[in-house]
Amino acid sequence: MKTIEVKELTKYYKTNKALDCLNFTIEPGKIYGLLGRNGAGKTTLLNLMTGRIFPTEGEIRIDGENVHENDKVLGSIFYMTEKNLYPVEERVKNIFKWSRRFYPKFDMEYARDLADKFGLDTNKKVKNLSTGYTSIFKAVTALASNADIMLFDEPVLGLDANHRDMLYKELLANYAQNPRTIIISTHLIEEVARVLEEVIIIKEGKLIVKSPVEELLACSYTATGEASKIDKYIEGRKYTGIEQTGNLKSVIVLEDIKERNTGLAKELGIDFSKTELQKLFISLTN
Amino acid sequence: MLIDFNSEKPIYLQLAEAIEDNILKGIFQEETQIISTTEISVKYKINSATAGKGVNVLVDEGILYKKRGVGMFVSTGARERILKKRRKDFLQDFILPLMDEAFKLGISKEEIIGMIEGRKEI
Amino acid sequence: MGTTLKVTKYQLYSFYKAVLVFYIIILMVSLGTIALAVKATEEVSFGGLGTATIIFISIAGMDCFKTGFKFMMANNVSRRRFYYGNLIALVVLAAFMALADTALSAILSSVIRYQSLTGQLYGFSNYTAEYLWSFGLYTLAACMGWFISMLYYRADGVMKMVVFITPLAAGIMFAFIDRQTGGQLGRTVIGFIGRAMGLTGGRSPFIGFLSLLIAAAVLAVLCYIPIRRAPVKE
Repeated sequence: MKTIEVKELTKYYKTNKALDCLNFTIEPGKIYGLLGRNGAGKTTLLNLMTGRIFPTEGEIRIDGENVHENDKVLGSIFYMTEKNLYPVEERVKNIFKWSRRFYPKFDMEYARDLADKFGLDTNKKVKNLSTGYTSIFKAVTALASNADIMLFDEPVLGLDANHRDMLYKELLANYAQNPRTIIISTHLIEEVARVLEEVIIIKEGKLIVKSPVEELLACSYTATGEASKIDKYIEGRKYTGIEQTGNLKSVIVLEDIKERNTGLAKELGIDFSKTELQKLFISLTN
Repeated sequence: MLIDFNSEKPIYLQLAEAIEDNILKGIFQEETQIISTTEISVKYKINSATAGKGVNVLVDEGILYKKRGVGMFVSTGARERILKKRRKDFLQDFILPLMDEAFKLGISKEEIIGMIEGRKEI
Repeated sequence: MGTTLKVTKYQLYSFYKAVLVFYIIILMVSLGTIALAVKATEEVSFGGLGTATIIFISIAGMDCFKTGFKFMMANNVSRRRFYYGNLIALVVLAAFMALADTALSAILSSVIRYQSLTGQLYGFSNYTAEYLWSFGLYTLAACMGWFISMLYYRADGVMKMVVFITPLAAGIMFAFIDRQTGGQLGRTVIGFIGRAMGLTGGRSPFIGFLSLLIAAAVLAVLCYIPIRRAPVKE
């Protein structure tokens, strides 16, 4: 099993602070969502986990071992980067072959199956793939690697709705067959929300939430009703994400679902509903 | 099997209810195998841990049972058990909200009964 | 097979097309020269195919880093393994090209009046000497190319200029000091190179081979410093 420990991790790019003293542990065998707005530090964090770049302070340990130049640990991770690192003149099928050499558990048959399903022409050179197919090619390589830890940075970049759906299904099928640690960094949250077991939300390089999705969603609810009534209801309550159209106001109340005041709501004519992860995310990172 | 993920309930409970619905409707017969957690996970694009949690709720209630290495089966008497449970919740889940709504709209108890009986004739 | 050798294998694979094209051209040039020699009434002499190889292998050295490094990073290979794997690949390439060139010069000198670089410099031709000397020279050229590309990779904006200007500045400084000392510095350096290459004294290509190999080793070690903390650039 592979536990990832992030310890007091800080990263500066020159004088620009990208990550600010992150501390958390990623448990093995779960699907995590790494969420954050553009420039929040998601890619920096993933790059540090795989030693692609170096931390300014702190460290990342996997099963107690520092990842820095550690072949044993690095070999157990497959990291699908957003930017392409593969030789652009190479054919997809040849990259599969080379990937199998570096990832001994790489499943060639599975890679070919996936390529067929997605309509990926493995005879094509990497440079001739569209943005969407570049993502598919990288994601297929990642899934077929069978690595214990899979990191996906914006895996659905440039994919149409159909391919996105297929990719998440293949990912879930792979995970169900062989539970492993998967971290998905994305900004298309709603469609991935149910795929995730836990979320890590970072904002301006700082960790603001690390929680199981269900728990996070159970800690808030949306109240909708007439503006003045909503104002009355949220008095003395923690809330965020106010939206108002005309006289209709909705607000995310940051309180355990079990503690909501149904009686008062009925009196004020307020409706409750479940908060969507996307909306909660937007209000938390704004 | 249809699951409306917009409901307020946690996903695993919605999944458990959807399976129960299928047993009540006779789509999943007693002592027959139902779809696996993996299939549920992939088909509905939900985390397999969540799917497993939903199925386990039903296993704990004796509605489903696991056959090792084969899969998930509907227990004998599952339908009866679900009926009993659902009937108990009927007042809370359906009648009380119905009465609330009727009160808001100014519909009397007699009118409600009239509606139900009228519907019966159709 | 260990990860290091897999890196070597990939790097060699990435060289092979260019090497193939290079030798096709060299063969055509050689055949053209032979044809010319057969037709001509006068003797045609032609020498030093080795120069082309030096240029080729320097470029190969310069080119070996970026693509390979990114690909190996994509496969989560450590920098240390990449370094050793690449070093072995360059040495193997140099050894192969030295062998090919020695064989070619053996064939050419049996058909026409041909002198290899070694022959031109040391005034005699001996296959073992020629092979070892070329091997040393090619390894040095490859490592030089690699080192330059490493410096460029690690340098940003201003540093790139510094890397570019330093050899020029050094050259100018050298010329200046040389003039101030009345050519003393130039003579010293040339004398040193002559001795190191075994050109003065006993005229030994073996001494040259050893010196070339030492210089290559120094450069190879210098390559490790910038690679140790090289980030992935996109």
